[in-house]
Amino acid sequence: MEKSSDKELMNLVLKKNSRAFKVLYQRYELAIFNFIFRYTSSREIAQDLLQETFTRVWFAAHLFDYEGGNFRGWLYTIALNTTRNEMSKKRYTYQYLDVAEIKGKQEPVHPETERPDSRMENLDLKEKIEQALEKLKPHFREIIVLKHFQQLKFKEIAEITKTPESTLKARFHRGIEQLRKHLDPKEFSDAA
Amino acid sequence: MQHNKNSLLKLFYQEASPQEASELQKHLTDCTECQKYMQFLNRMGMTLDKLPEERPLSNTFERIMENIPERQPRTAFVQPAISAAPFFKIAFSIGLIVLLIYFAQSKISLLPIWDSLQEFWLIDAIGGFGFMMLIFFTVGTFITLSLSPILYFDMHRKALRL
Repeated sequence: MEKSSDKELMNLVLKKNSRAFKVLYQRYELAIFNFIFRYTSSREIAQDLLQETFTRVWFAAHLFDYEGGNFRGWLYTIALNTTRNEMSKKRYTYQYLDVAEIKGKQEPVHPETERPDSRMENLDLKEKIEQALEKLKPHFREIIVLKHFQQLKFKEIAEITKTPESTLKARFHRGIEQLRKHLDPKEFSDAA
Repeated sequence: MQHNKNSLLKLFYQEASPQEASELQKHLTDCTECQKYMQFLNRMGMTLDKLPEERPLSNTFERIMENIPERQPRTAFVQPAISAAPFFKIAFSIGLIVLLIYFAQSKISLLPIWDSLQEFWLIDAIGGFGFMMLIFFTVGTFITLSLSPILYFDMHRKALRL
């Protein structure tokens, strides 16, 4: 069953085969979890929404296009809609942190560590990138996460988000530019 | 070749066709502006790649499966079932309409055009009651047909929601 295609497994899921469902889950759990985690910046929400996404797959198996459908795209569409719905609820507010606040935490750096990657290693790099991503507007973060972290093609993202490719590319340029500003305005100032 | 950030993005993410890629590579050797943008994409990409992959809880699948039986009875509950309520409602509505027509037919004879209407063989045959029914159902059909596009699209909009 591990070697079966997504569609073959979905055919079994349609018949409520939990073993096939588990194989599908194991195939995509990391991708979907990381997608939601990068989008929401919250491990707890990502955990809940991962469960919700796969629960929807189980119940909505009859809605999958078994003829020409692409399971990965369909799964991302469900994950994206679930995440968007959850994040649009008023109980969540996006945290926009002040760049100066982050910069204030920086330790003095030596000229030889001017490169952003080496410099950020001293400043808890992971936390800083996460904060910078969190500061992006949702539609910019969405495209960067889907494109860079999930490595989806622009065509696939266009189908998932129902947005033209040209719009997505424009959003990517703007998003990555804003990310640069949030990460380190000086270092990248001559780049874009 | 013009500076095109979208093409550079395709090249960076290896989505450009071989021909496109070779043209872009050729352009890149001469164009400092595009070189700068590619370097920028490279640096940003390398920075973002430093974020480690996260893992969900190991028992997530078990939690999903535990949650599923709770929801299943709810879908069974909404299975279509025959209820007596619509029959009572329909019977009540028909009764109300007949009563309305019965009272309206006594008023129709007071209209000045009624005498001329009675000259038509159809009106003469169906009488005041039949005439009122005809008016009532013509108006009803007209309203239903006017609203049907709205009802149709509304129904499909709801059905398309996942």
